[in-house]
Amino acid sequence: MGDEKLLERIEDSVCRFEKGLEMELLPAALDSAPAKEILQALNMGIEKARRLFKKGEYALPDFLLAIDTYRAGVNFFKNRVADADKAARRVVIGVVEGDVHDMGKNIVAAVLEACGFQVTDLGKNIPGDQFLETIRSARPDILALSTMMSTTLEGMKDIIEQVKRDFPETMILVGGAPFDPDLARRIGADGYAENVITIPDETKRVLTVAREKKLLKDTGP
Amino acid sequence: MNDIPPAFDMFHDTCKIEDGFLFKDMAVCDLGLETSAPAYLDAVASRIGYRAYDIEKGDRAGTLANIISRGLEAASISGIGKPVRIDGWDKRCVRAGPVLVESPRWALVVDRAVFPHSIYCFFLTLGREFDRVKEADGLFESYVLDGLGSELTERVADSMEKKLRGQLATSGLACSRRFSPGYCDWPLANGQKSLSKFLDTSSIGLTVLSSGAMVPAKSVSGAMIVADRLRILCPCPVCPKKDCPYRREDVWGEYEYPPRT
Ligand code: SF4
Repeated sequence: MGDEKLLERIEDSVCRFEKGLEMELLPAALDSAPAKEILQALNMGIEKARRLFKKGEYALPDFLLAIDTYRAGVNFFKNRVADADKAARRVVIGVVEGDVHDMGKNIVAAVLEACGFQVTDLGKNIPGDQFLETIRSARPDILALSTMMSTTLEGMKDIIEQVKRDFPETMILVGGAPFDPDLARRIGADGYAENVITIPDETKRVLTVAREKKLLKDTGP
Repeated sequence: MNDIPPAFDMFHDTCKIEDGFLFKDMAVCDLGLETSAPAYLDAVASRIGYRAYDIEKGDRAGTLANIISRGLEAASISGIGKPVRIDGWDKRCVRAGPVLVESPRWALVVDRAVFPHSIYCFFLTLGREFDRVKEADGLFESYVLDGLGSELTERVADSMEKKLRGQLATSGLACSRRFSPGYCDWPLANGQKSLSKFLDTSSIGLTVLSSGAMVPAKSVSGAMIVADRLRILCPCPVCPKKDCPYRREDVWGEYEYPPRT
C-alpha cells in the first residue's frame, strides 16, 4: 500500500471509528510517512466526522466514537512528534464549584482538543481560586466554564468578574443547561457554547474578537 | 412516627409504611429491576441521541449492551425515605416539620386533597462505584454510562414510588406522583437543603452540596404527598406551562384518586 492510500485509510478509520488504529495502521504508517503527515490524516478524519455530525448524518455518540479513535491515534504520537502542541491555542476548562455534572464539559474538552486546541481540564466542582491559579500559571487564551445548575451561576459570575479584572487577555466561554446567549452576555462571558456542533466555531469567533482587540498574538487556530 | 427502625428494607416488604425505609448497597436484581442489558438498550440509546435505526447499524447494539452490562454491575443502590406530618400550607408552600416545599403548584395538590397528612421524602443513589466506572477513559463509554445512570435512577425511583403507592393503598391512603427539588416551581437549593435536614443522607453515603448537587452524581431526591384522597396526583392537569418537557400525561386529570366506587 502506498503512502497516499495508507493516509487515506487512517483518515477513514478515524471517521468511521474503526478499532485498532494505533495497533496496526499507525505503526505501519510510521515506516512510510512522516509523523506530521499521519497526524494530519488523523485531523482530517476527525474533521470529516465533525462535518457528518453537523449535517445530522452522525448522531452524537458516533461523533464521540470518532473522537475516541482520534485520541487513541494522537496518543500514539504523543512522544513521537516533538512540541506538536506548542503553537496551539490554550484552553482551560472546568465545571464550577457546586456542580458535579461533567459529561457536557468532557465532550466540549474533547471536541476542542480534536479541533487543535491544547486543553487543560480541571475537572468538576472546581473552586474559583483554582481557576484563577491555573490561569495565572498556564496563561490560557480561553477559559471555558460549565455548569448544569442555576444555583452555581452566582459563583460563576464572581469568577468571570475576577478573570476580567486580573486577566483581561483571557477570553471566557460559558456553557450548560441554564444558558442562552442573553444570559451568557449578562453574566459577562465573551462567548456561549450552545452545543457540541457550534463550540468550535464559537471558540474561533471569540478568538477573532480577541485578536481584533489586540489581546492575542496572531498565531494558532 | 418518624423514627426509622435500624434495618428497614422496603424492597423486601418488611415495613410499616410510617416507619420509612433504609436500604444499602443493593444490586439491581435485589430491587426486582431488569438485570439484562437488552432491557435497557432502547431507553439508553434514545437518551444518548441514537435514533431507532442507528442501533441496527454495525454492532452498535452489541457495543452498547456490553457497556450497559458493566454499568448494571457497578450499581450499588441505596435509599432512605420516610414520611413527615404536614403542619400546614398556603398558596405558596407546604410546611411539614423541617421540610418546606416552596412550590405553589404542589401546594395546590395539597390544597385540593382530602385530609392531606404527610409528605413522604426520599433520597436514592446508584453509589460511588457507578460514578467511578462512569469516569471511563473513552468518551463514548462514559456517555453511554451517563445515559444508563439517568435511566437506572429513574427506574429505581419508579419502582420505589410504585411500591409505596401499593403499600399506602393497603392502608386506604392515596399518594401523589413523586416530585423533586429543581423541577416544577420547587427551588433546587432550598428544596435539597430542607429534605437533607429531615433525612440523614450520610447513612447511604450521599452528600448534598449547598448548590443542591448530589455526590454521587447519579442520585435522585424527592417527595410525595400522602392523603386520604387526592383530586389531582400532580399539578400537570391544571398547570398553564403547556410546553413543559416534564409534563405528565398519564395522571388522573380532575378525577379523584382512589376513584370513588
Ligand atoms: S407541566 Fe411541568 S411545570 Fe407544570 S406541573 Fe407539570 S411538571 Fe410541573
